[in-house]
Amino acid sequence: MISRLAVLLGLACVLAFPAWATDFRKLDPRVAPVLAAIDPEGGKHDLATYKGRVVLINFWASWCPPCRKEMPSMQRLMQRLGGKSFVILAVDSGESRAESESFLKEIRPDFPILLDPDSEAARRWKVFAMPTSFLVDKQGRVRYALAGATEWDEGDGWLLIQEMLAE
Amino acid sequence: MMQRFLLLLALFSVASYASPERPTVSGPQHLQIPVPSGERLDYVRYPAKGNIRLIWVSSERGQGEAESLAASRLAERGVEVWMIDLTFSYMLDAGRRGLDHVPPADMRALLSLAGRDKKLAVVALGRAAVPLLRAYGSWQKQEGRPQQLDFVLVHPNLYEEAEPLQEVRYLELGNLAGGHLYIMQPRHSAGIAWLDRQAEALRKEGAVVNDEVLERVREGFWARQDASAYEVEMSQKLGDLIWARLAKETKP
Repeated sequence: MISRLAVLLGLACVLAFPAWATDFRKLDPRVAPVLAAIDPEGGKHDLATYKGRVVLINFWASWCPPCRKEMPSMQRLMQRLGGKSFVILAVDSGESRAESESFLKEIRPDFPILLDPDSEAARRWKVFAMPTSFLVDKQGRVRYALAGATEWDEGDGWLLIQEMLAE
Repeated sequence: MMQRFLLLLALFSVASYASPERPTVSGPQHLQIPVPSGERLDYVRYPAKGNIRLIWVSSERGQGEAESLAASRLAERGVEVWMIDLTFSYMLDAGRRGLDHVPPADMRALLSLAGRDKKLAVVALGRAAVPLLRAYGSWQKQEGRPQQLDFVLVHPNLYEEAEPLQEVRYLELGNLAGGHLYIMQPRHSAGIAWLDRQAEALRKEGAVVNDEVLERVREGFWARQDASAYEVEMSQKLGDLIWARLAKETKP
């Protein structure tokens, strides 16, 4: 009976805290896949043009609660690192511009939102969970991946970005 | 497109024939069956007079109220349902891979028993697809494997490994020839990007695979604490959704 209660408690935790993670996966540095898309205003963005900067690439969707929860921390991160060699590209994947519009109006991000309505970029970057983020170094190599959300302006995410900026 | 139209037409015809709704025999019954591993498998039986028996297996997130409602609705339509929560029955880890530890022999015994006197179909939610497909994939003809078995898989998670920037690997499930799989994938899911790849992997194992995208809902929409009004509405219709998707030849 106790074991079954433990199982139920476990289930409750899983349902209460979906996709919240802080385990960054260190990767063998590899050339980043292509990432070229437009933002909601029609502006073109190509990861290749951001060489020389550290880039946080964040795959998200407005229907995903952990994605929505972590985005304000990305906003704070951008504000803290404003003017430094750092940029965030947030890839809105698997949904239309209309679907994410109200959320974007609400948070007004200071970083580009790239549209990926048919999930082409998500497939190219092998994204299997939302959110999933990547840290790309100044040489354009992917160094870390994170499946799940985090608070970007503190903890491991903040430290890793600081290290990469100092390289 | 034409195929889907014909299927819809056939479903409409059967649905019209099926009205008015058939009465259930009695209310749900809590039962157990012994399985080869020595466990006794808990299940809830929703009796019905029709000749179809549906094995309904809840996801790794456990069983929700909407599932019981769905089972009742199906029973009203003449489909007997055996509802099973494997995570609870085997006291498994509620994580993503907990259900992978269910012995295939136990599931074969369950399918064999359930298919003894009625035509059998399976509904598996989330990772619950793994133990059921493994059981079917390892079921030998001489052990009574049916020539055809229909599965409705609601956002099945069949990854062996799915890590960012790495090629996806799907679990090897055995010989799925004769398995007719209908995948229902919520539009609002990361899995939507991989639906075609997953279907292709299942076809390689011999299954016949069709799929459908469920618009405006997320994975586990029937049990989410943060469900949208539309997801709540769809949860109430879960039984109707499954009813409409059971292969035409499976219908009572």
